[in-house]
Amino acid sequence: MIPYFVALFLLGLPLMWIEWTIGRFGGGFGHSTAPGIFHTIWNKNKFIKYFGVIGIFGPTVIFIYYIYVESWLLGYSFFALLGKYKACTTEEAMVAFLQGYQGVVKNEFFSSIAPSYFFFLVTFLLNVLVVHCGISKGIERVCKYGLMVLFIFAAVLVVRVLTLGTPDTAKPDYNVANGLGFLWNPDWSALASAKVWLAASGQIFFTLSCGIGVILTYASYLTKNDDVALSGLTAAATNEVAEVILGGSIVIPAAVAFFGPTGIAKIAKGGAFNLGFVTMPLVLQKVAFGEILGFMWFMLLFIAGVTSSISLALPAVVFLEDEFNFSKGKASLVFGTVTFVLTQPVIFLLARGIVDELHFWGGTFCLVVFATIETILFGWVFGMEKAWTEMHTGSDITIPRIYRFIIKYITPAFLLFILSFWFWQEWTPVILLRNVPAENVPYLIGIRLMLVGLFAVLAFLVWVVWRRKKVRSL
Amino acid sequence: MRPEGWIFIAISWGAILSLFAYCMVRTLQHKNNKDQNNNDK
Repeated sequence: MIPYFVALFLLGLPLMWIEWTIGRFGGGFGHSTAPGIFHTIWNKNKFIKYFGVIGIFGPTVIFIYYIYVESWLLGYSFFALLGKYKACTTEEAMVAFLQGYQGVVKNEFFSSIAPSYFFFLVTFLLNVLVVHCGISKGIERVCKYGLMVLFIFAAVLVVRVLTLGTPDTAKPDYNVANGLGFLWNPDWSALASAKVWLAASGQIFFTLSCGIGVILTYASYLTKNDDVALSGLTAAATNEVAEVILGGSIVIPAAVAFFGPTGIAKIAKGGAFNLGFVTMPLVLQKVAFGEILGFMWFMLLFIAGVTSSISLALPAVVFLEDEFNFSKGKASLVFGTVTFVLTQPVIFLLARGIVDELHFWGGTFCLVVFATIETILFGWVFGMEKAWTEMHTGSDITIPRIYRFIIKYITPAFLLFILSFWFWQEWTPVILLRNVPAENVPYLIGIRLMLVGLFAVLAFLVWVVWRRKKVRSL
Repeated sequence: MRPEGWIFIAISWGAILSLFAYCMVRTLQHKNNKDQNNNDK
């Protein structure tokens, strides 16, 4: 948690302000996605727009696997209501249930991947429909009520988890206090690992949605005198309450109370998103009205997931609308078709570690690289004097002056340090796939080629757009 | 959980909740002022 909080104050908050500010600035010039916004800030550099491609590529890559994980939430909400996993009272049984649902194994719970694919189709169509409806009619309406209910429900669950005590008296170490200790006891030795800092930064970026390109798009719709300073801070503070106080007091403490510290490490190894799908059903079965509460929990998380996935879809859809003059319907259809095809390997090759691979490149690495580029652009190319004035235009608060120094020096240095340290410590094994089972290597190489192809197509589209603009201006 | 873990959690939760309360107050103040200005017009 120490790297997490350091990353929040030195990376998360500055990046929130940077992205809200440059998004609003770029929007003033008619650009709502990173290639155009970057070009607006540094129009003398003809290559900077290609760095902006990461701001469309990153969220699209995250969308490709996130949408499938999101569909599990929908499936589990119905399983909770129908009591389908009621017979699973142990960690092993719940893992088997999840693996059966994912199509990783055939067992007594699921004989095929069909139920999983059905819920994926429903989720995918719902996402495309909401994106098609636009921001105010689609996204805003979903967020307005769903997230409020989720907050209240999460608060109730926190109380339940924190009063679990020691569920199995035969295992006195498996208790909630040790669960909190798993998260909060400082581990000083971990501070020397670049991977931990990269993961903490990635977590901050992922949950605050910065370094992705999504905030740029949302902020581009603001007018010149709309506040960005208080809005950025409020978004970050609200996220911290949800993530650290509510989220951090539910899944991990409950998992340690039921499975112990070694047990949760084993479940987490099965996939980055598995923990919540193994722990929460077991926790919810131990409370009164478990079926209804289970349905509500997964359904509300599903709604929260929908709000995130439609945001992830937004940069690509808006890019097609803005730069190619596509209608909302046509842009949603193109985006939907491409991502539907790209999601198929995620679904059918899940056991090969595809989600973790995509999560690393799209959800961690790209975020840090993109954040580094935009921070340098903001503090050094745009210029700190101009940037500070732009941040405070229409602002409801005054940002502490120390952040002038942090944004210009500390944030870019921190990001460059993490990236360099990571290259030094992890580059070779990650690139050469040394830590993955040999049978998965061909599939992961295939996924990497798919990512390279996607990036190349997006870069080509940016080239086409600017070439057209150049021809028009002649 | 070790004592330093309890200290860490208390400081972190305190800081997050204070920041959240501050943001909510400022946001709602701003909203009220905006509504007031609209009514005056």
